[in-house]
Amino acid sequence: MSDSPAQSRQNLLEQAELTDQDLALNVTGMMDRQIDDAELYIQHNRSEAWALEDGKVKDGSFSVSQGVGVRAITGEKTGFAHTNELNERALHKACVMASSIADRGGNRRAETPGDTPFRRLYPGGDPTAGVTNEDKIRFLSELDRFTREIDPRIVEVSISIRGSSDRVLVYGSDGTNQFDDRPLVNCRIHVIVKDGTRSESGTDGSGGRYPLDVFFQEDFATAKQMAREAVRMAITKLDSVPAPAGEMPVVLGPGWAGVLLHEAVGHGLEGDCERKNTSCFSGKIGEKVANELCTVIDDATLDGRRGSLSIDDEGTPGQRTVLIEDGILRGFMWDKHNAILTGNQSTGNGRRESFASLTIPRMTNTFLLGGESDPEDIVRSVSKGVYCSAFSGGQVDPSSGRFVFATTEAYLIEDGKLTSPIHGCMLTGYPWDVMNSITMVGSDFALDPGVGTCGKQGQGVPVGVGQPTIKVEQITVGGTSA
Amino acid sequence: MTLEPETNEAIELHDENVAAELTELVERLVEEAQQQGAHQSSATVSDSISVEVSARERDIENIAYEQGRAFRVTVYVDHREGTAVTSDVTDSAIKDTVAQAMSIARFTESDPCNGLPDEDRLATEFPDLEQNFPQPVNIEHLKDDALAADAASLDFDSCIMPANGADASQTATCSVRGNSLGFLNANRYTIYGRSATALARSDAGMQTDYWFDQSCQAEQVESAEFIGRQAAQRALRRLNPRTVATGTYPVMYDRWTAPSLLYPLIEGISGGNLYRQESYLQDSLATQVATTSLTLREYPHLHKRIQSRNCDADGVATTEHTIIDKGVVNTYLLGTYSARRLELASTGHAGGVSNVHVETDFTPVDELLKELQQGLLVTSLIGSGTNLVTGDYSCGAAGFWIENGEIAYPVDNVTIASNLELMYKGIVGFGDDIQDRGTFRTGSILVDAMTVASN
Repeated sequence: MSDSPAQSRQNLLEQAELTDQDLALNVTGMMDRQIDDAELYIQHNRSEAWALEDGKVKDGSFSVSQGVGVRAITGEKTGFAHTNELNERALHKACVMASSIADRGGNRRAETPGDTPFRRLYPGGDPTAGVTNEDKIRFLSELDRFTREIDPRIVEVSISIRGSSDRVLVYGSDGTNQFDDRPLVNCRIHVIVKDGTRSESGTDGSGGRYPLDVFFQEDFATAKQMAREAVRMAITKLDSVPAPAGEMPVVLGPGWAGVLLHEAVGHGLEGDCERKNTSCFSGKIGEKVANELCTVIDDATLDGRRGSLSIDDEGTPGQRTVLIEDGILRGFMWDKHNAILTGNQSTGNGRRESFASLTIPRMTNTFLLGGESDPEDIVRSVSKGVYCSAFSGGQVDPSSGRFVFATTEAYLIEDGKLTSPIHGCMLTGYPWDVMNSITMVGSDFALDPGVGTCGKQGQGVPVGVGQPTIKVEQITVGGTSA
Repeated sequence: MTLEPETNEAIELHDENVAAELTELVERLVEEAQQQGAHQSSATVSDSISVEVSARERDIENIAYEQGRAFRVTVYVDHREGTAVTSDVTDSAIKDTVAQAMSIARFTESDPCNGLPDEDRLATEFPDLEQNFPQPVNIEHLKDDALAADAASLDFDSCIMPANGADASQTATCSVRGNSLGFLNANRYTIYGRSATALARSDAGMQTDYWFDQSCQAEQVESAEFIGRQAAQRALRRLNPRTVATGTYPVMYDRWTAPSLLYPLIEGISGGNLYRQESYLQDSLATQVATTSLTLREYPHLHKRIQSRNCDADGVATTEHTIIDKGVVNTYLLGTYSARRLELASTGHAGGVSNVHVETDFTPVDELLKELQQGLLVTSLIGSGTNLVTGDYSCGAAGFWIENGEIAYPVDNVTIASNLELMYKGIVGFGDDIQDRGTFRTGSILVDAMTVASN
């Protein structure tokens, strides 16, 4: 049995050698320095990881990261101090340092109800608690044997499982007093296959905010399916031919391909870009920015998903935010700080990697809604192009809008049929070109399996993406076959 | 409760006792591990203090103070390994953390390659590499620097718009590493940095770029004004990019992107990738993997350099190495574990390489451009599209189109692709515009042919 949220919150404070009164007094003390807003973020993160390679479970690690981050805001200025020393003296010192930013009379911000009710989207407590260490070892070893038996060309298998519980308490001068207990687990399988002189790799993984024992149910069914998928990908790539180069139609498969949306429009719709006027979408609310078939949503409220948040890192309950509706730009994603400065409301997108990082607006689960086209018709509609089903990730320059993402499994489309698999390659484009040239949207909407980590300003946070099969009429494919 | 107004005085740098304090902590951790039954153990403790100030639109935006201490302990029981990491440095946490590492080692499987380095490989001499130049934290000074870099960027040209601003930072770190074979090394270093971003706007769109510099000596960091101007200049020159025809062309990586061209070569001969069979450079020792004009030599003991080190992450002594000799792999880059897996000796590369110099006959960079004639000069790369297993390479790029050996116009939103083996063997020249900022000391590098794809 895991503790109730109230009990878990109390344990966090006790571990930190702090009381509610310490929090209240320090926040009041900071506000006496004439700042607009003061916030304490107390975190305790416990994680463990087990890894198998070369047939042996030889790596295990356990880590605890804890600390407090103190933020003092005055106008556009932020003073921030953090420490992993947890006690009243260290907290007080961090509060003094953070509030040194104060340089003018304070304008207290509007009070918000201290404990805005929210729905808990995942169970609290340690997600690894339901599985013994013996079971974790047996899981890895059996999965290794299972994987190796799939194909004789497999030369190396690595498998990892990890689980963490992340308890955060947000306490602010605006009345915020929220606690969240966030589990996160994942399992990843990576294989290397060799045939003659050719080697290839294949990877599959999944995860989310649920107990680790999900992978252990039904004789490891989920994990075995991942193993088959990783092997299939690697073996397929053994026959791959050079990828084409140049602009052409590209069909993107369902699920993880949503990384396209994440890069092409997601980052440019984060509120800090809008406030600083550094996004190619700045000032374009109400304008058409994509084909009318496109509706893009950021939704933190999906049960148990990797990118989901019951509350964000400023204590705002997670929300569903429509970013693009039928091709029209509807909204940005906001944290409190950027929202207040621009006269907007937080959309629950204020996130930070840990107590040691400043909160910035970030995505949660970002996806393109499904449409009406039959996925097979979409492929059939292309006479010469590329079909991409797996990706390693992407990157964007939000001001020019230029984005890239790398395929790890792709095929040529010739006369409406998938033919040869091709080498991995980069796709690149500008959002307005690509989003306007999405001319078919499939009915097979899927979310990714829960493997994404988004990096911004050096901070990594777990995110989700999703989309149905889509057709992009024109995008640059970065192969070698010109 | 009140908060005393003595804010700046609150930032204390490490005093002289910090190394002794951390050393004692490492010794206690190792002792605790041995007491709890470990056959071997190692521990690392680090303590870091940093201050970063950022400015935007000619005003201070953020001031961030960081103070962190963390430790890591690794235990070996019959060649079974367990690791635990914590940022809780209270007394009770030492016992608990060691106990966690021990409990993991009870479940992991025995691997004869696990364990501390052989005793005779451990570093025993620790000459001062001059990486620690502490200065009292002066917030006003950092504020002035950040404001000056931001202003220099904004003042550079009327096309430069306020964007993400500039920052100035300073960090002081002390880390101590020790193990149950008696190895003990305390290391202190400082890092001073300045950076600026710039956004240039024209009717055709926006372009951003940045510039930064860092050093262990405050006075060696490029001036705030220079950093700001450089960021602005780099953003401006990217305005109004054009497209090019998809095709195969010579591609020159400028001196700042050249390290990213060389890095996969280092990764490809690194122990972890070799024993996992994750490298196209499997069994490449003593074989030709790059042009005969490429020699890479590593100098781990250079003074006043952030990357320098007396020992690697396992405590093994580092030495100078010729890594690539006239295009031939002269040594793999091995840590203790990967060396044992490959039945070789550690080369002192647990945790990577230090200072790697390109040694070759450098060509005046103008002559190299003339040689390029028509093709792409890459000044910025985006995305990582390297498949080390196959050597396939595909990357987003921006830069300048070269016609008749001269810069013609900026190019954006293209990909460059080839295979690493072809690229390294196809290097036709190294520019004399040498930069020596990070891991690699190199000039521009010209590759004979890559596929450039554009819209």
